[in-house]
Amino acid sequence: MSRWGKFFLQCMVLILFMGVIQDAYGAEGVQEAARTGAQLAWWMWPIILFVFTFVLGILAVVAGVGGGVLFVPIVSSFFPFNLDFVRGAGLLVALSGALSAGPGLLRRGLANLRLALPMALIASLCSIFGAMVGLALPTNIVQTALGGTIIAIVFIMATAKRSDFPEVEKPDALSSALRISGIYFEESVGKEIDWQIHRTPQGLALFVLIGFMAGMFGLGAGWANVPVLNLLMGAPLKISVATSVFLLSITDSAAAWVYVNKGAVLPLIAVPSILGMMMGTRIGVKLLAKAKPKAVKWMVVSILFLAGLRALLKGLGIWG
Amino acid sequence: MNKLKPSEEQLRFASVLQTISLGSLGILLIGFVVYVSGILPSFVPVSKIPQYWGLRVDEFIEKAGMPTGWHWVPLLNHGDMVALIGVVLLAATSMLSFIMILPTFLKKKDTSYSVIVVLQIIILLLAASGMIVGE
Repeated sequence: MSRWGKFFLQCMVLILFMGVIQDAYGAEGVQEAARTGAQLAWWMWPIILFVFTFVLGILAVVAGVGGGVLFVPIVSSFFPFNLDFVRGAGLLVALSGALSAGPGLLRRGLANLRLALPMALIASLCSIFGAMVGLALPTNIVQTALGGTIIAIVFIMATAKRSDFPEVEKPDALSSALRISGIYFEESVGKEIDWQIHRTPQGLALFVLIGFMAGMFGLGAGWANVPVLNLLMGAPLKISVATSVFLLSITDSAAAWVYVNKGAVLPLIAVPSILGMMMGTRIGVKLLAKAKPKAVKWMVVSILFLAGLRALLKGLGIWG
Repeated sequence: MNKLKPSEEQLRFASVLQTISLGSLGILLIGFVVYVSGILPSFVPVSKIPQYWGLRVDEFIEKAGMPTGWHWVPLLNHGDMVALIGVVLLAATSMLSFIMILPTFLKKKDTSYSVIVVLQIIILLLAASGMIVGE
């Protein structure tokens, strides 16, 4: 079966599953369940969130999808928290993941400081404005935009091609002036790879949009960083992925301040989520050797699509 | 010279980032334990948070009387405010790392990256100050 076939089959199963729940409780029953959920003993919630994000962390690593991008749509779909607090927690989840991985990637020479800094400067500034806009707009508009964005992300994940070693014949003037280039040892081919980049101004322009969206939706932005660094600017795939992780630690940090200052970070939601995601990620790395990443990836992408669809329909007032 | 070895500033950044982020995560965990254990009283009782988390942030601030910006600092005798220390440190990790590596770029007379790092510090400081969002 083609991957699109598998994707639609999994979506149908998930939609049927959600439909069974809706039928069992009725639309009002689901709303009531959310309200009753809010009456659970308060200490149950950090435990539920921890377990949920722990599983999400495992799935994120095995599927090769950023935990930050999964957190906001899925938690806002299945938990009774306002989107403002979910986005605040989502940024901290993405930030803590990036901070954990960043130092190792920098030391191994996979994340590149000279490549990341100009992009981070633009993206972090724009993420602040994105966060401000996100907190100022009515929830239904942000929810609708989030749903549309998540569906677009699913499309990008499903269709984007990757290039291990893109050909860059000549670096552009800006990247030459900034001396953005490097060399790393590629284990898969057993040799040193020299790399340089091109189309830096176009890349910087796209980071305006990436930063804005990261701040507005509280999402990690690896899904956008990697194609821009790899396909547009011509950085090798490994350098792009690692630099993207490091970039997140700067972009999300700027946006996180807006949420912290506005009071949109509730430790009761954020801390168990950060801990759950980090521990899940560590277990996921260990399971990676035994798991079937392709099957898990399609399952995660299907859940993400459903969460995006639910956010879109919720925002439009059609579902929930 | 090993050409595969990352630059001096990159290694320094990695080292500072690791130290500060590990410290922040440790403090985040300790602050959370203080908060949920009830060792210190909370400004908004933890048992009441589920009544508020379905509200938009502005409504939550208004109804719960929670402080915004840096107004939580004088309230550090409350468990929920102690839990915010780790959150703030986590958000500050990148900024502190940039401040620590700036001298390395200046010493190397790398003007363009010194300017980028200074601008980055200004942006993060402005975001942290709350001035941009009017707090």
